[in-house]
Amino acid sequence: MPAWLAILCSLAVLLLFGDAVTKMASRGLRLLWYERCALAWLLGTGASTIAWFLLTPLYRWISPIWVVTGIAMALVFLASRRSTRIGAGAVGFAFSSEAIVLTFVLLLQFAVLGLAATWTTLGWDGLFNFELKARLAFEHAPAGQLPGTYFADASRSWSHPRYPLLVPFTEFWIYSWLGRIDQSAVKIVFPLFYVSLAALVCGAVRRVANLQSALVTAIALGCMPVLTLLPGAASGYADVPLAASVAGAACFTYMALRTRDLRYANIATGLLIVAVWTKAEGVILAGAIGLSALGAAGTIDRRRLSALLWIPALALVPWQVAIRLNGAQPTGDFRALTFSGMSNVVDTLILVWPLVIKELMRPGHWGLVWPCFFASALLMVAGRRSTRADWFLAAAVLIPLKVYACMYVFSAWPDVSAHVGFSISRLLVPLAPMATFFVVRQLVDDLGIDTIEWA
Amino acid sequence: MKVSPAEITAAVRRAAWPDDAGVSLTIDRDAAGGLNATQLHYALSYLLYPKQIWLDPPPGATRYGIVIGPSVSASHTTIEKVSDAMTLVDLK
Repeated sequence: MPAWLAILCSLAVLLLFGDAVTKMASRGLRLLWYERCALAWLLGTGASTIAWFLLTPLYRWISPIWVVTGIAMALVFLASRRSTRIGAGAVGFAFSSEAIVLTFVLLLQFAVLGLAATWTTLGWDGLFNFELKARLAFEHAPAGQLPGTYFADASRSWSHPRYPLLVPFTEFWIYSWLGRIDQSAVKIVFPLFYVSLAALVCGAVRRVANLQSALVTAIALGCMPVLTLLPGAASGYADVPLAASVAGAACFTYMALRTRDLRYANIATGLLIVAVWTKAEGVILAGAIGLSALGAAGTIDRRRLSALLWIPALALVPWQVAIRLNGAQPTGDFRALTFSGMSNVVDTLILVWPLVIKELMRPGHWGLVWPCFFASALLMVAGRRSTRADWFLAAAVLIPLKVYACMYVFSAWPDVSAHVGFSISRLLVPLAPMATFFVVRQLVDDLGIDTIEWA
Repeated sequence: MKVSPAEITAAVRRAAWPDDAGVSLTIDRDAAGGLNATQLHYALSYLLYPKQIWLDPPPGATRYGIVIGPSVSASHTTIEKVSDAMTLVDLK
């Protein structure tokens, strides 16, 4: 099979799998076409990763390609037999001249990002944290299983053996279809995660404002180098895949709180499962979104909304069991807090907070997103015209921000400021799209932007 | 330091180290060019999997060594010279 056809087939299986999951989770909810495509990609990679991981023992007898493809096709068949259909978006292709220009700029951004990704090599973590595992799974006999000795190998604890496997699986999947390792070919998946991120944020803005605002927001995301270059979509890091699922989950939870339609929360739950399978901090972000949603629920059924918390936690259990059974090594970046270490807590916080604030105000990374976010939050509090859904969005950004800043108290690095400098921009990647959506949501009210409400 | 991944893997193959060999990595900063010890450690670990590459090996974990730099300790036996700056050694 030619390489291009093998890559297309590998992507098609993931998309069909994800579309079937989307159909089943959305239960007839109206979705914009680009939201549906983004969900197909994110839920497809997530569902395939979990299916691949759970069925690992079968690979002695049958190739993971056939196992995962078989499950995907079975689910496509089941989803097609269900009577519920995904409703089309209320707004179709009626583009104004401004919207045409903005769409062109957005497509140009995507094209440039795609070229940048394919013309550059995998970044440091992209190669040594994620692609390494894809390669090990591909070269292992039988293919598709990660060697148990890898997890307990203390000489490779730097490669984060405890990180969940969504990105390594997606790369392994492409290798499996290609029949060889090709580090250039796997870079195609990262722009797809970025496009999914832009599509979901664009869709969320489209639901609370107009098409032009949605397109401008998506273009604004592309102007943040941290989202696009390093550690962004061109690098092969897991931060943009995490950002796509987390921002999507926050947007759909926002819609659930705004409209009281809990089918949006079903989709958010699916995206949070993807988040916890993407990177370790997905657990913190999923927890923040779940807790913020429960706090802002008002009269909405909290029991049903609590699925945002417990279903992602339950979905991660098999992975947690596996890393414990295999004695997976911690990376040594963090240490347990001891009584002797308690005396340094205040000193560390005094050291860390200015560094975090400096990063938030760094225009070369984030433009004006963070100053605008904090200004919007202050105006929201002062104006007293916010909804519970708006409070949810603000909390979903602020809780992880505080957790991250406090986490450095446990840093095992001899120089904590070097640890902050090395990692803080990555930790902010999943929060920036949510902060952007919050700012746009507040601007819609403040500037009186035409709102074509249809959600 | 100019040496290709293929040259390194070929030299290790010639040295016939066992798959699960423990290998200590000794680096002379001047000889490592623009790369630091962490970068070299990660890259060699990736390249030579499943051999265990250690920067600070626990006692008894290693029998072989990769020396990056001109000086090879008198207690080492040179097995393979990969390049002017990289040597595979036996620690015994």
